[in-house]
Amino acid sequence: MWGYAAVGADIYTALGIITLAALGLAPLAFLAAGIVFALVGLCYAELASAYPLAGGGQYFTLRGLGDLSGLVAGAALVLDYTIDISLFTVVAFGYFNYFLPWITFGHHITDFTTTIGPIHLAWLWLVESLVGILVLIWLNVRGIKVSTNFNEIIGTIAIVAQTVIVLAGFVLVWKPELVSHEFLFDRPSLSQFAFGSSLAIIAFVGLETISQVAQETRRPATIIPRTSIGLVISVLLFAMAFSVLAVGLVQPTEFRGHEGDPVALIASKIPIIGIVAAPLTAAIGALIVFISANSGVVSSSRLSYSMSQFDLLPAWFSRVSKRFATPARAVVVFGGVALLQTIFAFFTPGPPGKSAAIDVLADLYAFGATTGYLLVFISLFVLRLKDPFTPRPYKMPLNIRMTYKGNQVWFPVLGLLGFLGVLFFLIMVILTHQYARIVGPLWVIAAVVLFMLYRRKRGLPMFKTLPRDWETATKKVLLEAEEFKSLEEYEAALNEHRARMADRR
Amino acid sequence: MRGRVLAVEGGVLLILGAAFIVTGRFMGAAIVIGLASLAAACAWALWPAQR
Repeated sequence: MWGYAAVGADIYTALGIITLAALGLAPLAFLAAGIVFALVGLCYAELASAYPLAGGGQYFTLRGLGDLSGLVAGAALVLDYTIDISLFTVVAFGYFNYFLPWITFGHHITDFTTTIGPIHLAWLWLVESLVGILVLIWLNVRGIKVSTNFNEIIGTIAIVAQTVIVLAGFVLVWKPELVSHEFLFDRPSLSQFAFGSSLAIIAFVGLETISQVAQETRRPATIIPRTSIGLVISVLLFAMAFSVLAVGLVQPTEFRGHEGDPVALIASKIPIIGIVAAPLTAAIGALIVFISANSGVVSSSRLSYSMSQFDLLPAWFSRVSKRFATPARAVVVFGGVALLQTIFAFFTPGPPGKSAAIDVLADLYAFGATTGYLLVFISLFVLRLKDPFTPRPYKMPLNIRMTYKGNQVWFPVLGLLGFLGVLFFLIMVILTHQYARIVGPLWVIAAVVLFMLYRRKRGLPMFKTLPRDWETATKKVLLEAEEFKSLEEYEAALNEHRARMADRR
Repeated sequence: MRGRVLAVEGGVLLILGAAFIVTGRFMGAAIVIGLASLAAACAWALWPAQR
C-alpha cells in the first residue's frame, strides 16, 4: 500500500520538463526542491504518525488552524490531484507512444497531429489520454482496485529497472566533464531556473498521497515514519541520479519532443543494454505513471470525502454509491475536472510543431501543493503549541524547548526552514507559472464560495470553526490503529494537564 | 529486496567514485560518492521494513 509505484513514478514525468527548463543546472533544481521536500516529508512523517487519519494535509490544517484554513489546504491539494490525474495520464501515454512506430509501421506520435490556427493538436495523444482518464474513472467508480501485491511487485520492478539504468549509465557512458561543461556554459536565466526548480515539485509531490493511507495502516506509529523517510530518500536519490545522469549524457535540448518519455530517452543512450533497456523502461514507465495517475483519482476522492465529513464540503461528495460502495460522485466530479484540464492543455497554442499539453499541465501544477504544504507547516507549529499531549512517535529533528501556557513544548527548527523553503517555492510559482497563478487562486476562491453557500444552507457559521471533540477522536484513532502504548501516553498526558489546571484554580 | 538493491547500487557507485578519484576526476567522484551515500541511507531506511 505504501508503494513506491505511486511515488517513484514522479521522476518518469518530471525529468524531461525540468531538464528543458533548468538546462545544465537541472540537478541543482532537483536538489533545491528535494531538500525542501525532504523537510516536507519529515513534517508529514510526524503529523501522519501522530494523527493517522485519511485527509492528509487537509486534516492536519483543520486540526491546527480551523475550518477555513482546512478548506483552503484541502481545495489546493485536490486541485493538484486533478492535475496529477491529467498530467500523469498524458505522460503514461507518452511512454506508451514509444511503441507507436512498432504498431503503425513506423509512424510517430508527431505524425498524428493537426494544426488549427496557432494550436498544434496532437489528436491521437489527446484521445488516448481522455480514454485513459475515463478508464480510471470507471475503475474507481466500480471499485476495481490494483492489489497491494501488484503495486509492490511493480514498485520493486521499477526500483530494480531504475537502478540498472542508473548504474549502467554511470559506469558505461556518463561523462563528468559534460556535467561541468553544462554547469558552466548551459546555464538558464534566473527566472528559468526558478521555473525549473518550482516544477521539480512534481518529482516529490507523491508524498502527500502516502499520508492519505495513514488511517488504513496498522501500527502507524512504527510504520509511517520509517516508510515515509525511506520513500523521501529513495525519491530524492533517483531524482538526483537521473538528473545528473541526464546532464552528463545528453544535451538538455535533446529532451525536446521527449517530454512524454524522458527516462526511455536516457535508457536508449546507454550502450550495450540500451536496445533492450529503452523499450523496457518505456513499458515500466507507462505502467507506473498510469498507476500514479490512478492514485490521483483515489486521493482526490478520499480527500473530498474527508472534507465533507468535517462539513467543509457538502455531504453530496461523501455519498457512497449503493451499487458499488465507492465514492462514485467525487470520482466522477474530479475525474471530470481532469478531463477538462486535459482538453484545455491540448488545445492551448504552443511553440510551432509541438503540442503544449505537458508544458501547460506542468505549469498548472505546484500551486496547490505549495499552498497546502505551507498551511501544513503552520499547522505543525500550532499543533506543537496547542496539542503537546498527542503522542508523537516521530518528531522532526532539531527542536528548541519552550514553555507555552504552562506546558513544555518543542519548537521545530527544521519545520521553520521547511516553511521558508515552501514559501519561497510558492512565490516562485506565482512569479513564473503563467497558468497556475490564475487557475490556482480561482479554484480556491470557488471552493470558499461553495463552502460559504453550503454553510449558509446548513445554518452553520461561515467563518467560525465548528466545535469538535478532538480528544475522543484521537483516542478512537489510536485504538483503531492498535497503538495502545500511544493511547496510554495520551491519557496520562491529558490527566497530568488536567491535574495541573485544577491545582492552579 | 528493495533495501538490498539499493545497497548494491550504493556499493557500485562507491567503487565508481573511487575509480574517478584514482583517475583524477574529482568532481565526478564527489557527485557519485554523494549519490552512493544517498543510496546507502535509502537502503538503511528500507532494510528493516523488509523483515
